[in-house]
Amino acid sequence: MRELQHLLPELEPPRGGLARLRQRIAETDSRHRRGWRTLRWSLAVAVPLLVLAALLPAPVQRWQHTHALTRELRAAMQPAAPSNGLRVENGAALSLPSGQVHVHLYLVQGTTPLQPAPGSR
Amino acid sequence: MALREDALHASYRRLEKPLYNVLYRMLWQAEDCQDLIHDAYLRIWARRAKVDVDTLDRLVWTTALNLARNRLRWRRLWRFGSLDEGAPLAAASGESDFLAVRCLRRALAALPAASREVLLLAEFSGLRGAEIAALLDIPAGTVASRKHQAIARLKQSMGVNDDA
Repeated sequence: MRELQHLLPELEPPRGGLARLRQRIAETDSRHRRGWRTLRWSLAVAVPLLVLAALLPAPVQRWQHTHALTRELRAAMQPAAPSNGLRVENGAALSLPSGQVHVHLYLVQGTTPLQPAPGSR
Repeated sequence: MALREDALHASYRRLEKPLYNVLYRMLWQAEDCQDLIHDAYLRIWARRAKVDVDTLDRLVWTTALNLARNRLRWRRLWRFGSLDEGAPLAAASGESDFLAVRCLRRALAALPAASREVLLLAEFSGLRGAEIAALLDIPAGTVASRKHQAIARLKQSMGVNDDA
């Protein structure tokens, strides 16, 4: 039995409360589903990008390193300009230190494959 | 077992009126009050996978009371004044005199928050003393004493005799 009925009369809540609650639940669920879909799409795009960003620098760096090394090696392997009247055709010559002033030593490599000498196997 | 939507609706049908009557005397704004009840149900619905149907009503009461306390704290912080000045109360009681409603509101506001909650729950929630005690996490004896004190102070503030 309520003791304060005359002071605190019972009130009727505004009508349509349950319908509004149902609507809000439906809206929330729909928003929730949309949110998940957006998140899934974002992840589908972001994850491969992150993986690429993490993995790509290593091959690029390796390629750059190899390229620089090749360039340096090529520069080092450039045949010495035949300053003493020598001319190399169909090949390249690399000047090697001989240890003597009047002795010039060259490593010569032809661009065409060597023909086997007659009689050799 | 996860909460189903029909169980939530059934709980809403059961508790809408008692919740509204309790919360209205805390917030004094009809729309705010119904929004808050809906917020409580939406919060529970959001974690429905973990909600047990057997404890649903208690969870609704706890959530709604917590939200109402937060709303009151927020109002105090921002010195927010309510607008509808107990109009539904006056209409329901058939009073044209808003002064009586204002007086009641002031008297309720003057009660300590803990006593006011006990009084409103005892009057409108339909819960027994032990259930209110469990809901507020206080001993059953404290519920009885707070309710007694609150009624005495309210009657005193409203100028009502005990035999009224």
